[in-house]
Parts: sequence; structure tokens; C-alpha cells
Amino acid sequence: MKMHNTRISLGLYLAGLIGLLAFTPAVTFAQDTAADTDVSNTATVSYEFDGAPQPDETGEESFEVDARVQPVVTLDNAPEITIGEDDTVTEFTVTNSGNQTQDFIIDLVQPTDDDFDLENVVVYRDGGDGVFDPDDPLGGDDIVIVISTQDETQVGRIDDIAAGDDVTVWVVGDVPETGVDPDDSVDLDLIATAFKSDGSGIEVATSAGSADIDTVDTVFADADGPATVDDATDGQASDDATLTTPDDTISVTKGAEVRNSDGSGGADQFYLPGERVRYTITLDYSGLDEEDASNIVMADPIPANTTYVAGSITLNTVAQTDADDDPGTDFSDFGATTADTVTVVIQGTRNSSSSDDVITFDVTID
Amino acid sequence: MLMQKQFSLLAGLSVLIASVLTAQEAKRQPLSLEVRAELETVRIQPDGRRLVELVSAEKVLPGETIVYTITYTNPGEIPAENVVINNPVPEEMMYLDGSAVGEGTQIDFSVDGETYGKSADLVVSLSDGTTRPAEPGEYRAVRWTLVEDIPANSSGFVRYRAILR
Repeated sequence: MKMHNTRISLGLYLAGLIGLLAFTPAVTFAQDTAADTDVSNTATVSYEFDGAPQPDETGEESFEVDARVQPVVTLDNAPEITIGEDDTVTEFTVTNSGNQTQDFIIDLVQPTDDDFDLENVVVYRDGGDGVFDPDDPLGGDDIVIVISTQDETQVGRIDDIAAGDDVTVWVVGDVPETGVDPDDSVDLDLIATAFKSDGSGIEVATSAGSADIDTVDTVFADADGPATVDDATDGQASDDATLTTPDDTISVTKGAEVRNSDGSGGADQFYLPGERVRYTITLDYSGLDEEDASNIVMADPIPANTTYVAGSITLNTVAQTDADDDPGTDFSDFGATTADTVTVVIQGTRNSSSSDDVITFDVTID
Repeated sequence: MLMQKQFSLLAGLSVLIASVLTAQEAKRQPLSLEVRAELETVRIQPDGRRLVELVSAEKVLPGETIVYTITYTNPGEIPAENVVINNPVPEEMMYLDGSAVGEGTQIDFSVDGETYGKSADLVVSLSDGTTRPAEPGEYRAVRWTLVEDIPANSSGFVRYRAILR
């Protein structure tokens, strides 16, 4: 072709290409073309010389589809846990998103930068029914994956997962009774490493691959995962679960009402200067799910533009003094522990079944 | 003598005819067709621009885009007429909408490899006897009909893009 024509054609092509890039849809296919498939393309030209048909000529080109190694690990369910709970079940899915059958070696890592580790951890792979039964953990042909060393001899490795298929993996472990506090977390990293389905390790494809388009290269297409050892395009995939013990809470509610000047209940309900206001503070312990609470201190600075009514503190209807005479006499003071603040110390311990503690004190509006 | 002369004249003529035929053969050589498969790669430049490159199809994975370039060459010395290039899309590949180009060609498509037509005219038969417009991904062949002859000693190309399923 003449140079002139070549330039026009290339320009035409590039213009079309740029236009297409804008709206080329993300393409997904039900089934990826398998690795090692030979994609052959034959073009035929028919033509005439001086009006006489000539034999068709053909041109042919083929390339091999390369192997994409792409394990994907997904956390499906991180359970609610409690301190001391046995047999917590965390569910992951390991998917072969590549285009050839693959084996996967499973590793479970409990990172050290969390608060505690699960104990007696056992990793199971689903035998086919997709259901984990804690009472019959090996029911439905479920298999224990022995996490020891990450090699191709691993017992319970996930063998021969066809392209596009996935397997459910359960991590079962106990939350320790001791050394675990409310709102503590444990991290679980599940790592899948792709191996050839014949069990031998996979060589990382170099970025150049083979210069021969008829050669099957292996291309790692996995994403970077949360596990420390798991980088992008290393034939490994991971996901992490964070299991957290509930945070113990004491809920505090506070109300106010206008009282008569002697503190008795009154009919006058207007918040006006000179009026006496009673604050009622209720401590509710029903959120203490995990542990008993002790050394509970309630501190409440009195509002601006009010004056504390001396001797008005009560704890569970028992009058308290304003002096810091704790322990022995009572457990409260005004302004002694902290200036302009009502401080009440709850003696002993409280748990989720403890009764509420109710504190009142009065102020007058300046 | 006369006989002899005539004879040598005849001999000379036949040599001439032979050489003319040889020259005619040299003038009309079969067209050649070369198919090239290249991988379309998009690289994001440091300034954020996308740079589209065609590289050798050494590593091709499902979902990637191949650019097929079909180069035709007329190596002889007389023009080739009524040139039609036909390329069935490989079954592993999905034709990309609007990607077929070919300067000085009329481009038609086929969903069955037998009947050809413009994109807008192609339909797919449904099981209930009705038809619906064909999706570009269902095109099974691309056909370029050259409007002009291919001049002597010249070449050109046609091209399209397809995604590996």
C-alpha cells in the first residue's frame, strides 16, 4: 500500500479505537476460554484477473490461550463471638477465577498485631453440601485441612478445582476465657496458594513470558490481599476476618424536674430563676455482657447558671454527704473530688443482672 | 530454401509466443493474505492519559482484546478485481461492536457464516419463530468487499477487534 493510504487507514483505525474506548463494556463470560486453547483465525480472499476468477487465497494465524492463575478468597461470614465461646465458625470461600483446573493449598494465619488468638483452630473444607454442622463437623464429606506447612503434600488441600468453581472453607476455633477483654479483636487471615493440579508448584511467569505466541504462559492475575505474605500477582489470595468480643457498656440516663424550694414534689413546673431542679441519674448495667464492672464512678458537673443545693445528693434514695468522707460514711461528695461536680462512687461490683443505681441531686436556677 | 526460411520463422515465432506467455505469467501472481493477531494493551501514562498499544499476542488471557489485521498484497503487475476478503470470527472470540475497518471497502457481517448484511439488517431467529436484531458479539464472520481494484504491486489491510471469551 502507498504510504499515503497507510496513514489514512491508521488514522481511521485510531479514530475508531478512541471512540470505542469510551463505551467498551466490561465483558464477562460465563466460561473463560480454557488455557492451552488454540485460537486459529483463517481469512480468505477471492478475486479476479482480467475478469477471470482466480483460486481463493488464505492467510492463517493462531495463538495459544495462556493460563491465568487467579485464586480469590472471600470472607463470607464472621461470627459474633463472646469471651470463652467454643467452636466459633468463620466462613470463607476459595474460588478458582483462572481458566484452568487448579489445586489450592490453604494456610491460616493469626496475625500478632491483634488482641488475642483463637485456640484449638481447625480448618474444614466443604465436602459438597455447603453446610457446616458443629455437632458433626465432618458430615457431608467435609474434610479437615491440616495447617502445618504450606506445601503440596498438605493434608486436606483443595484438589482439582475447575476453572470458575469454588469451595467453602470453615475456620473453627475457641475464644479463650482468660486474657480476653470486652471489645478485643482477633484477626484471621485465610490464604490460598495456587498449585498446578498435578501438585507441582507453579512457576511465576516472567513479565516477558515466551516470545512464541504458540506457547502457553502462566500469568498470575490475583489481587493484593490483606495477609502480609499475599501480594498482587503472586499466585496467592487472602481475605481476613476480624472477630470482636462485645464491648461492655453501662448506660447512663439523666432527667430533670422542678421541685418545691424544700425539695418536695411541687406543682410548679416552670424552669424559672430561683426554682429548685432535681436531676435524676440512672446507671443501667444490663450491657455488661462479658465481665463484672467495678470502681464505677459517676461524675456530673453542675450546669452553668445553677447553684448546688447543699446536702441534696442521694444514692438509691439514701442521703449522702457533700464531704469527701468515703469510705465509711457514704460514697459521694460535691466539689471535693472535682470542683463544682457531683461525684458518686459505686461500691462493689455490678454485672448485667444488677439493679440500676439511681442518683439524685438538686440545684437552684440562678 | 523457402521451406527452411519458413521453418525458422515459425520457430522464431514460437519462441516469441513463449516469452510473451512467460511475461504474462510474471504479471499475474496470486494475491497473498497475511493475518496478524496482536494484543491491545492500555497503559496509563504518568499524566493519566491512556496509551493504547498493540503488542505481539504472546500472552493472551480471557477478556483481553485482540486486534486482527489482515494484510492483502498483489505482488503481480496487473490489478486484482472484485476482491472480497472473508474472515470467520474464531469461535473463542467475540467481535467488538464497530471495530471493523478497511479503507475503500464495504463491510458486511454474518451471524451464520452464509448470509451477509449490514449490522442493522442482521437478525437472529428465536425458537418461537420470531427474530430479534443480532448483537455484534454474535457476528460469526466479517466480509470486506473492496470497492476498487487492488493495483499492481500494492497492498493494504483490513482490521477488527475481538475479545477472547
